[in-house]
Amino acid sequence: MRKLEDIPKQNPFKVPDGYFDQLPTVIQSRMTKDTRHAPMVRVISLSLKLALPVAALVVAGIFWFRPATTLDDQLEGIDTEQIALYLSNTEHADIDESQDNAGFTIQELDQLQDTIYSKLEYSDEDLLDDIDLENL
Amino acid sequence: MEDSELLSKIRNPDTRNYGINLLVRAYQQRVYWHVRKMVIDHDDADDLTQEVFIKVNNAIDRFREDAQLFTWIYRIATNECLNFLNKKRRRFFLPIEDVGAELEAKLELDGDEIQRKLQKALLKLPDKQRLVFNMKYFDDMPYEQIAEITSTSVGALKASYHHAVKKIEEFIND
Repeated sequence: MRKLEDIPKQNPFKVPDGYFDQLPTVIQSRMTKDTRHAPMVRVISLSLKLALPVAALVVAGIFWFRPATTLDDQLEGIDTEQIALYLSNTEHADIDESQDNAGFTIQELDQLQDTIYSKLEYSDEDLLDDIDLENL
Repeated sequence: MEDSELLSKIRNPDTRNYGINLLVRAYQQRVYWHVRKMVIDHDDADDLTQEVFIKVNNAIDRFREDAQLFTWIYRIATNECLNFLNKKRRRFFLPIEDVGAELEAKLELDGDEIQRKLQKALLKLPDKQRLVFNMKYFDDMPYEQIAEITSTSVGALKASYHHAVKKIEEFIND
């Protein structure tokens, strides 16, 4: 049975010739390079680390502080011509039926109708001119 | 040169580069061989030794002389070795015990058969046990100093070394 103390202590590894003579110079030139680039590298890595959370906060802020849109705001965004075209091309359901389906009260529907007609840029005279009185 | 003299040169901006150069010259061989015995390959040991001294340079102003300078540098070198071996394991998806086989492939040894067998036996040990064995057996370090470097109790180190010797002798006689 061979024991560990029977084995002579040797260093079995080798290094290239002159390695330890050159190593201090190599290390010091790396230290100089590191010192020169360190602030810029730190700034870039810090920017990258901060960019994502800041972007996420900005997006969350936009959604959080965005004003809620009302029916008036939505109608404001639609061209008068588009509304007129829609009304002329759509078969209107019976008021009671609409009310039942949409869950609006009569007062709400009246308000909605007033809102829509107030957006149309026609005067009463214009409307009368458009009516073919002879074919009534 | 005494450590205190070396440190005062490093802490003086006018002599800092000279002081660092002296420090590297004083400790480079011990650090290199400590690292080399752990990572086996010369290129890896070379990279890690450079990295150790760069870290020493960056942190030396925070060194408070609670420990010996040599112990502090050895501690940095030990952490670098263990981190390197863990990264290697993660990179190649190796289980803990298989990094030895990876290192064995890089083992180019001079010396007789028994030396080769001893090195192969060492690579069968877990990293920390191999580290303790190297410091005790090859560097003849007292347990108290190894305890300071590895933050382990002397009792645990003695047990670890005893187990390592047992495993090595079993492997050699196999």
